[in-house]
Amino acid sequence: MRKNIFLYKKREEKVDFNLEYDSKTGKECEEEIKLTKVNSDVRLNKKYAQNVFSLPKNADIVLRDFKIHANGKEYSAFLLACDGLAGSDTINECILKPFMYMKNSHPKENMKLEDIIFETLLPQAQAKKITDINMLCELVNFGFGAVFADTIEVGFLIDLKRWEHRPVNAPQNEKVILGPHEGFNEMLRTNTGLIRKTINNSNLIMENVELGKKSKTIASIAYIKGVTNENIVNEVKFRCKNINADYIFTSQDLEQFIEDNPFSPSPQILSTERPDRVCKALVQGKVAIIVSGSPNVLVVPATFLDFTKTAEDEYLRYPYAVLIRIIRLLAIFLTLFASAIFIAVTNYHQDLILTDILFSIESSRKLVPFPSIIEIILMELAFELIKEAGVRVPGPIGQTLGIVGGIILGQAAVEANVVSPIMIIIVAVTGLSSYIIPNYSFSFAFRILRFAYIFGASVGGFLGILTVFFMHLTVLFSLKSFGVSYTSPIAPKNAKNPIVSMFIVPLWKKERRPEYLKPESEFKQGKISREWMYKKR
Amino acid sequence: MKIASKDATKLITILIVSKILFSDINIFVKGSMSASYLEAIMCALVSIAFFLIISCFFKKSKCADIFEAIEFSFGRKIKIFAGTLFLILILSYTALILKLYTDAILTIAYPNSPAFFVMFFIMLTMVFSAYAGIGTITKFSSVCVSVMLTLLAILYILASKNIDITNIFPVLGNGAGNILMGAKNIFMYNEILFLFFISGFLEKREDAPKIGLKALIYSSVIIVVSTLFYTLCIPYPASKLFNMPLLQLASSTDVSFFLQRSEGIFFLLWIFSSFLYLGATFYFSLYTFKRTFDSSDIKALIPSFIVTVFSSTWFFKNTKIIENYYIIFTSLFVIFSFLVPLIAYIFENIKRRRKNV
Repeated sequence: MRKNIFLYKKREEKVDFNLEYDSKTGKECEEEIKLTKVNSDVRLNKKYAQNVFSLPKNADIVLRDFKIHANGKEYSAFLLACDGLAGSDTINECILKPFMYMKNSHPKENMKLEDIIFETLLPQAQAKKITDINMLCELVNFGFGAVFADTIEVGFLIDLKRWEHRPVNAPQNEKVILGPHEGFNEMLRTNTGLIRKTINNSNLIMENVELGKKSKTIASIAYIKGVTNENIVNEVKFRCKNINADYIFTSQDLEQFIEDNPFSPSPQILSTERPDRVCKALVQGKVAIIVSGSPNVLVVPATFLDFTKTAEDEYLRYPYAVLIRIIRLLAIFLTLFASAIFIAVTNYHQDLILTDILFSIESSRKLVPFPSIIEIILMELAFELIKEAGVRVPGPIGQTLGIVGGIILGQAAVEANVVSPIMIIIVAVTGLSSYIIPNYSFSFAFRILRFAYIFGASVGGFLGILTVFFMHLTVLFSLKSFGVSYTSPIAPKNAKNPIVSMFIVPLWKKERRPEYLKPESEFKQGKISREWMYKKR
Repeated sequence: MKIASKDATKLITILIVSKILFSDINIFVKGSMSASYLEAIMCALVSIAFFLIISCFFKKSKCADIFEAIEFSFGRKIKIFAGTLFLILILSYTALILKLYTDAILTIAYPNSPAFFVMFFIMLTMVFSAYAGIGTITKFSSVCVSVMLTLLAILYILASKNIDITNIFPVLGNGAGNILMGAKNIFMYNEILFLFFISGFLEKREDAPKIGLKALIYSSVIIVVSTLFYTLCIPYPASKLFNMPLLQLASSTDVSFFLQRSEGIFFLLWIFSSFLYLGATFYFSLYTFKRTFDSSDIKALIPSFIVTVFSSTWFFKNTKIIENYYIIFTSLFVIFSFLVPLIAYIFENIKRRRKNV
C-alpha cells in the first residue's frame, strides 16, 4: 500500500528514561543476609550463598553440587568458586576428582567427616577451615574456592587462584639504562615476591590490610623490623584501616585517601613501579604499601628531595651521578623561573641585561601586538595542549603529532607576529626542562606553579617572583608526609650535611640512615665500607 | 611545634645582620672614621659581654619565655604594662622598618613605582608569615642564610678590586675614645630579644644561651667584615655620605660581561631580608599580644595588625623624620632587649631562691 503523504499521522510518542530512586535501598539488600556462621545444614548454606551472589543471575559464580561418600554414608556438598578467577583445571583436578573418586583417600575408621575432607581429600598447600560464612563468600571474589558439606559447621577455603595477568615486564614510566629492568605488575604476590627476593631477609615484614568496606582489596604493608620506626608503621596501618569508603581499587586511590594534604600541588607519597627503588627505600627505614591490582607501589614518608631522584642515580658512578643531579636541579629551576625571569627582566628590570641583548629582544617583539605575559600564556597553553594530545593519541601518530604540531604552531605563530621567536625559545626550554623531572606527579606541581610565577613576574617583576617564591616555600615548609617535614633534611636541618644530601653521596659513604626518619638502627654500613683497601691480602 | 637550635641561631643571626643593609654601618664610619671596623668590634664585644651576663641568669630560668619571667618576678599587672609598651614599640618599629625597606627597594629597582606597590608585596609576605607561624619562619631563615651569605660573599669578591689599604689609616681613626664610645651602639644587636621569645619553642631549652652567643658571634663577624670592606673600598669622608653603604658597594662592582647593572642582582638581599625581618617582627608583635593578654589565638588579629602597621607608615613622611624616629625606637628597643631581660631573670632567680629557702 502506498503511503499517503498528505494525510496527517499521529507520531508515536517516544518513551524517555528518567532515573528514579530505586525501591530497594542498599541496607535492605544487606538485611537479606542472616547467617554469620557455617550451618550444619548444607541446604541453608546453599541458600545463603545463592542470596549473597544472586544466583543463578550471576553468571560467573559457579555453584557445583556433589556427594561425598565416607564412613559408609553419603553426604551432600557443594563447591562455590568464581569462573575467571579460579582455574577450572584446578577445580576439576584438586577438588571434584578427589571428592568424587576418593581414590587415594584411606580414612581411618570413625574419623570425623571434617578431618576426612581436610586431611585426605584436599591436596592444596593453602587450605583452611573457616567457620565465618561471610569470609568464605568474600574470598570467593578473590579467586578462592569454598566447599561446604552437610552435617559439619565448617567450610573449607581452598586457593584456586589462576586469573590472567601481565608478566613481569620493564617499568613503563621509569626506564633506566643501568640497573634492573623488572617492574611491578598487578599481582600482589608477584610484587611482594620481587621485593622479598631482593631484600632476602627474614626481618622483612609484609602485613596485610583490607582496603574498602565492600571491595576488600588486599594490600601489603612492607617494612623491615628493627630498622623502620614503629610509629611510621602504626600510622600507615591506622590510616589504611580508617578509610570510610566502599571501594578502593588501586594504589592511586589509596594515595588520595591517606596523603596529608590532598590539595597541595606537591605530592607527599612516592609512587614507583620499580622493585629496586622500593627495596632501597625499605632499607633506609621507609614503609611501602603494595596494593593488589596496581603496578604502582607507594613509599612513605616522602620528602621533596625523593621526588628529584631516580633509581639510576645510585647505579651511575659518583661523578656522573653528581653531574646528572646538577642538570636535574637546573631543570627544576628553569621550569619554574625561566618564563617568569624573562617577563620580569623585559618589563621591569631592563637595566639589568646588556643593552645589545635588550635591543635584540625588543626588535624581535616590535610587531607583536600582545604584552609579553599574554604571549607567554598563549605559548605555554599551546605547549600543554600539544603535550596532552601527544600522550592521549595512540601509537606513532602521537609522537608525530607532538613534533609536527610544535613545529607548525611555533613557526606559524612567529610568522603571524602573534609571538616573538625569543618567546618560543623560552617556552621550549621550560617545557623540555619539565620533562627532566623524574616523577610524573611532581612534574605536574611545577607545571601548575609555573603560571603562578609568571603571574607574579607580570605584576611585580623580581619582587613579584620572590613573593610567590616565599609563599610557595611557606606552603612547602608547612607540609608533612607521615609526620616528617616535607623539606627535610634542608629545613629543618637534620642531616650532617644537607647541601650534600641535595646532591648524591657516594654509595660507599652512605653509612647512616636519614635522621628525619628516626630509624631504630642508625647505621647501615661501617664507617669504612671498602675494607679491602685496608686489609692485607 | 619545636624549633631546632641551628635554625634558631640562623634566624637570630639574619635578624641582626639585616641592619647592614641600611645606614647602620655609617654610624660606625661617622663615629670613628677609618677605624669604623674597630668600633664595630667594640660594639660586638660589649653586646656579647652584656648577653653573657644575662645568660648567667637566663640559663637558670625555668620560665618558658620572657613574659612568663616578668609575670613570675613582678606579677601579672607589670607584665601587661610592659607587654603593652613593647607592643606599641614593636608595631611602630615594624612600620618604620617597612618604610625603610620600601624606600630601599624603590630606590634600587622600582624608581617610578609608588611606595604602596612595593609595600603591598612585603605586607603580603608578612601576613603569610604570621599565618604560617614561627616554625615556617625559622625554616625559611635556614634557606635564606645560604642565599644571603652567598650574595654577600659575591659582593665582597666583586668589590675587592676597589680595596685600598690606605683607607684604614690612621688605624685609630679620630681617636681611641670614639672607638670606645662605639659601645653605645649596642642597639645593633637589639634583635637578640627575640631569643627570649622563642626559648619556649626550642627543642632543647637549655641550648638557648648557646644559641644567643652563637648568633651574636656570627652576626658580629658579618657586621665587622662588612664594615671593614666598606671602609677599605670607599675612603672617608666620602663613605659617610651614603645612606645605604652596601648598595654603594654593589654599585661599584662591575660584571658588564654579564649584566648591565650589577646592583640589580644584589637587591635580592634587600628583598629576602625584608620578607624575613618583617615577617618575623610582625609575628613577634602578634606573639607579644598573645602572651601579654593571655589570648588563645592570634590569627584573628592579623588583618587589624597589618592595617595598623600600614597606617603607621604614613607618619614617616621624609628621611629626616625616619632618622629621628629610628634613633628613638632603637634606643627604646635597647631597654627591652638588654635591661628588661636582665632585670626579669635576676628577680626570677632571687624569687626562686627565696621560695626554695
